[in-house]
Amino acid sequence: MKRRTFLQVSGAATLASAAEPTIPDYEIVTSFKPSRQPGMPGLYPGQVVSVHADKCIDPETEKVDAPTVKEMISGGMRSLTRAKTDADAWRKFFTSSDVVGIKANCSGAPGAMSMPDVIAEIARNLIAIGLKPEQIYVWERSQLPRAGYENYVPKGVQLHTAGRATDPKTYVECNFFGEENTRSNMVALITEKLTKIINVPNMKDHGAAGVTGCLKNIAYGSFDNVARSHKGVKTNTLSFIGTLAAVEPIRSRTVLNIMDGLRGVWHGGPFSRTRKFRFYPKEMMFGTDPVAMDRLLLDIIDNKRKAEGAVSVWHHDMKHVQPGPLYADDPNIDRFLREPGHIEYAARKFGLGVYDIKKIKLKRIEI
Amino acid sequence: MFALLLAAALPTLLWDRGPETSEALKAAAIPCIAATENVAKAWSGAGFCVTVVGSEELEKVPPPGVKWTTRDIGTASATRAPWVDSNGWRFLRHSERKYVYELSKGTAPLAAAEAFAFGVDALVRAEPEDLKPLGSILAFLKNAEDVSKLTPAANIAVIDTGSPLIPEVVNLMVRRNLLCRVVRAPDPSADLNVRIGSPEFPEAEAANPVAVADKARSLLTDKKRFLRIFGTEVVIGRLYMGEGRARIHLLNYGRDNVEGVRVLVRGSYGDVRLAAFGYPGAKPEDLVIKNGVTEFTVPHVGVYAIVDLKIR
Repeated sequence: MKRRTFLQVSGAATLASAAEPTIPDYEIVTSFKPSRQPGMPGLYPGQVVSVHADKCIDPETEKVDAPTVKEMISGGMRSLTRAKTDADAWRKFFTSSDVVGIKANCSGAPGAMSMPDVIAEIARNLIAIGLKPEQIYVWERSQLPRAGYENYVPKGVQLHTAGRATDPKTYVECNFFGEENTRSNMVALITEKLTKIINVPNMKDHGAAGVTGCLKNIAYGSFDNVARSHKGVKTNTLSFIGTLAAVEPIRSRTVLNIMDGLRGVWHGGPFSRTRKFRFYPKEMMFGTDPVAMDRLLLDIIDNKRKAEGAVSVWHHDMKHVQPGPLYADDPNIDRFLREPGHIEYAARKFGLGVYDIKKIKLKRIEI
Repeated sequence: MFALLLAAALPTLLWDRGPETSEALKAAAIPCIAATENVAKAWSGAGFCVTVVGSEELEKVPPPGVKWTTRDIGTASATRAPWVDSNGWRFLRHSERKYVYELSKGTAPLAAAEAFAFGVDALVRAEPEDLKPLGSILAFLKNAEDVSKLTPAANIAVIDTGSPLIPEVVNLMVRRNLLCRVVRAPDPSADLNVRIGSPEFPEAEAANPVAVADKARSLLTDKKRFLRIFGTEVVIGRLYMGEGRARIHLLNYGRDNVEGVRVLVRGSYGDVRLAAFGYPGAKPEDLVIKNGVTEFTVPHVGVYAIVDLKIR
């Protein structure tokens, strides 16, 4: 590690829009009670550790350097928890009796995803503190096979495609656009097996949500029937993401967020159909506060877009919105009116974390 | 609130082949057929019950099923939207008529179940290779408990003004599980009357039947719906109620079995029994009775399932 510094990040928070949009009526149905210390915003509200390592990935070949990833995760976790050893850091969140779900993001796989080396190293750290591989689930709603995790994770770690295996008694009900199926049910793995969750999003732009970070990954990845929140150019991600993320037991059990920014997507997300919109932040963020981490992600994606001459994720200008496939090639075209304000909404409405960037304590580590 | 009592008659195979096919019918466990007069004569003494039909009294209906269209809305995974081809709208408009299904291969079981669920008199003209599946579903239907005292539950009345828009409006209602009945004049007992040309449903807007169905649902509100089905876009439900009992028919118009269908029915039913065609012994799961509503999960819906409910 070359340097460690705590930075008080400055900058003005940008709000989604002056006028408060109409928020749909949500009915939350869950029998789960919050834990004494809900995982979000968790043990370290408003704190984020960012670890950068230039050699973590080769942008030409996209080959990941596993030893560097190991060092990044070790440094990030010890810095976040102020622990002396890796084991002590992980024991801050997990015991050997936990059943841990690692929520990967594979919607853009193989071009953009939570990298297999990252997922595997997380699993190894859990095993190192006494969890059996069988107590670890790597899960995604779909697309998991495209990520190839089975070639990286320790033997016995379970790969789980949630699909339609959901909990009929735990759901969010809302009629967005007159759709008949108005329920989004929570993935049954979460309610039936997992005691803790590690959320591992990938640094990505998102055509509907603005960006897809911690909140989007844990929200839309933990419920079925969520695509219904978009129709035409309108998306309800502004309120739906935070609403889903705050439902118990997700809120209590999601105790750690590790954002994989080895490789990212600055336009066209959540997919990565063309390599020209990929970039390589070579960075990972660690924290328990999904809002704070996503707030930082907003700037990472928006700054990259500005550097590339693309319109901001904050625009609400219909001249940049066109249905159809044009968005996949033109960074100044979106398919939806983006809602990056979902992060601020999740903080304000549900207290899921710290949005004010002046109050976020960011610690940067260079490897 | 309820329409006239309708007894659910068993559909019958319409067969235009001679007694040389009797072994195939026996193998399919089909003891009764319907046939035109000439064919019926040939079957006399063959050991089958034969009903003589005249083609002039039968209204032809197409095979039920589903068509899939691509719905690319830029979400993480490509989605496909189903268009359900149900004959329910025909049956609701003219339950007194006699129907004959002209079927394509593989659709006989759903056709028989559809006619049974809507309580209409129907014949099924099936291909020889469909005899066994048809025989299986007919046996299943025959074994269903007789609940002919129950009446169709529907709290939307669609006033049939003769407008050419009515069939598609009723079709959309059926496809969206908006339980309706077709009436000639406004029905004060209904929670909602849908009259094309009224201020709520102006003629110009009714040119889009989807908008009519959306408006009807919005005016009725989901809270007042007798039946809701979650987790699938291809299962259509029919509800019959009376005397502390209810029966739900679940018709799967898709090509594949549907797993984990969540059903909500208004009323507090402590006794819920499931008979799922193709899944003997299947039981309803995750029963919840709360606030005057009963919910449960049907683990598998093949072509068809019956749920019988009783207040305990």
